[in-house]
Amino acid sequence: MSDNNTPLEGLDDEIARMGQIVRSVATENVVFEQPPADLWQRIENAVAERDELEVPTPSRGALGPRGRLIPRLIATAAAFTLLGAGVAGLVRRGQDDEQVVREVALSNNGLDPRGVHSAGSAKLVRLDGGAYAINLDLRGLPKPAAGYFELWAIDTQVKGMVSLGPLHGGGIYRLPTGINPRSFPIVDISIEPADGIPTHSGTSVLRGRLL
Amino acid sequence: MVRDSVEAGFQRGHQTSLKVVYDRYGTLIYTLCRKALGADEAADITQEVFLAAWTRRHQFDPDRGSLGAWLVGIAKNKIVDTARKRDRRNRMVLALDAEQARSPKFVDALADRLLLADALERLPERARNVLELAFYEELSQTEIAERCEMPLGTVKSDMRRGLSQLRRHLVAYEDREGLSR
Repeated sequence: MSDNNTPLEGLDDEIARMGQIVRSVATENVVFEQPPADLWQRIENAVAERDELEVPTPSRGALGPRGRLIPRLIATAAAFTLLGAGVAGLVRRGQDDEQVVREVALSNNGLDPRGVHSAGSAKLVRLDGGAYAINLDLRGLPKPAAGYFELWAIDTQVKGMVSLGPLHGGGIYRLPTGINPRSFPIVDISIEPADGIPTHSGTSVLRGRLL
Repeated sequence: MVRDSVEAGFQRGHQTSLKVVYDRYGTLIYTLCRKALGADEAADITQEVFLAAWTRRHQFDPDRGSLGAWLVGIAKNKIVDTARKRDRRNRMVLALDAEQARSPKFVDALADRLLLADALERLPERARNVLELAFYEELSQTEIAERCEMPLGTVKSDMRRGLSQLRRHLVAYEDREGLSR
């Protein structure tokens, strides 16, 4: 019989077993201790560092015809991984009626020494029509002996890359429609030889991670 | 099988899910580390536990027990390792005497106690009430129904639901192999 008007024997057995365990471990007097307030931040930083070591090597197919995307690109890009898991809560109004979603410093750290005196910042902005764009502010870029600079939005696996075109100084570079900045959060400036090969040269001078 | 959204998000490996897991289990893991190792090392070991959990999130299997039990399993191993290392370095043990902290049995008992207390605390209120009456006052189903002025059928379904959540913690205890370092 197991209708609702009679106690369940199997249930009684299990209650008795579990009750014995619960009583034996004396759960009723437990006092929990709150972890230090900064512990989550420490964990998040440690996870970011760990993920840096674990970024997968891009497959050949992802490299395109040039195939010279070098590991250096991967290793340094990963340094920006994970730190900003969510979009910045802070959204402020920029000058030209663009919404600034996030701003990040660009650094030459670990990249090609030709950009060692370069610096700058990249803002992810939302334009009036809703499109996303990168607003660049650059200082100290060298004049490349040959070739030109190109701006890229790169994913966290360093597999997918979207060219935002040859660099013509600071200012607004629109992301193509349908390209979500969350999927391509790394801003990268490369030196491209004038060889007509459309993929990334693997030589970067500045980089930062927006999201 | 009881599913929960914290476990589901963690398994899928969403970057934000570790924060959710920390918010849910950080206090439990920190308390375990602190009671076993003392305040000095508790935060470091808690950090290691969550880092290891994130690295090995693919090994977590909800069919074998709760995420809390899995995290506690990782923590117990780290605590025992840490206590051994500390013992080798021959340093003062702050929280407990060395004999205790070193003993996996002591850590097991402490972990069981905290995990069950945490699980009981987080049960829906009605299920917790009927189970506490059954566990601590050892009342029968009928007596609980009378005491709480609830239909017997409700008491039974609350008990069953509560037990199935607690059981997931105990399953993992009995299967410690899955909790290797």
